[in-house]
Amino acid sequence: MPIRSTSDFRPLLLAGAAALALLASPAARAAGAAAAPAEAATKDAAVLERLGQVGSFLRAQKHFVVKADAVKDEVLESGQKLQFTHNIEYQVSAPDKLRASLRSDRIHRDFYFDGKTLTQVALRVGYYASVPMPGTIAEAMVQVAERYEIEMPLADLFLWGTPAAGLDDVTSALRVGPAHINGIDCDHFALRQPGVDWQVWVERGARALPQKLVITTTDNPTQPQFAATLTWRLGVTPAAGSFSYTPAKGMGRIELKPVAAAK
Amino acid sequence: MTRLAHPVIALLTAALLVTAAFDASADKNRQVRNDTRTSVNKNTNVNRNSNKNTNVNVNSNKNVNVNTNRHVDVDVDVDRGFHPVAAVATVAVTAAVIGSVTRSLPPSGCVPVMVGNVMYQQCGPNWYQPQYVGTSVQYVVVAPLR
Repeated sequence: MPIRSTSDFRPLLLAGAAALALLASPAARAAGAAAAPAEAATKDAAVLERLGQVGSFLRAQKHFVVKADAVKDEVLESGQKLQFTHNIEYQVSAPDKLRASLRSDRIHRDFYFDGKTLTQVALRVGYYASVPMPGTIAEAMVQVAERYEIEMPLADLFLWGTPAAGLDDVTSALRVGPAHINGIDCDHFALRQPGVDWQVWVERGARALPQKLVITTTDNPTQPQFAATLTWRLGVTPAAGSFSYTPAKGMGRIELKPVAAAK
Repeated sequence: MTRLAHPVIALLTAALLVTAAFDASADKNRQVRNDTRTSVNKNTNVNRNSNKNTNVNVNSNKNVNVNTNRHVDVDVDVDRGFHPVAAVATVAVTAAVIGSVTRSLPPSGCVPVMVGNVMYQQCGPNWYQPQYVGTSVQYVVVAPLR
């Protein structure tokens, strides 16, 4: 890990000094030798504990709005990378109401979820589709992927702090150091797990919110990234009716193909 | 989306073989792997390990001169009426093959028709059933409903 030796990073320097001191001890040297050949699988328990706090804090929020400004790489078969801009907004009433607005360079989609029905709306082309979707937001995030091949961006925001959080898959966790994201003091963590390397910037203090998330897809040799900066508004109660779709005039109902039928 | 060259190519029958080869390579270069993940949790990940969404192989044309138009887009959905180049996509089409799938409708002459509870698009002699596959809108050519 490259360490910038500037005064802004004093805590990191201290950590570095501590690490050097540790390395001087025989035990630490033995541990280092064992870890060195295969890529060191360091799992900093404090990082995982902090991510646990993120989950708890998120699940304690009953009403909130989170916006994300994101960029996503798409890779051509030639290996050439393209970048697309995404603007994402989730309005949430836990545990089972969600409104999603997904906007990118190319595609506009809205999702309405009221704990019973999920509706996908493509306003510009005038289509919508509704499917039964009983359950919580977290369950819906998994179901739409499994049944309909819809990957909701940043779905983790709704899974952390639940039994399906997936943090067991983490194979490496380290604290990079302090960071400033949109003027907010954060800790920068870097994690690895099968298929993805990911980084998360978590606000310091009791408001344990992820302020930024970067996901690197390591299954793809060109390692495309999705990077999102988040803006949170806690305690905002979405308007009644935000979660059920009423088709406007001219909107036509179509089918949302289940996975098996989509082949 | 079709490359701008298509309408011209359709007229130049002598060049068909050449353009077909060119077409194939161009298509390949426009296909994306579409596997960039936007969430960490493996259960919310859509495992697109093949390019099944990219081989959208469009209207086989029944005109004499004609080629099979391959409209392969960068595999990110493009809403109808949004993409400037899509307007040239199906100029030469007279009859689409039933069961084939396309990402975009002909640029003009399409009328939405409600049949039962579901919307279809009638474009001249051709009927299309729009559907979502994931978040992408695709159009399946169906037998005329009227």
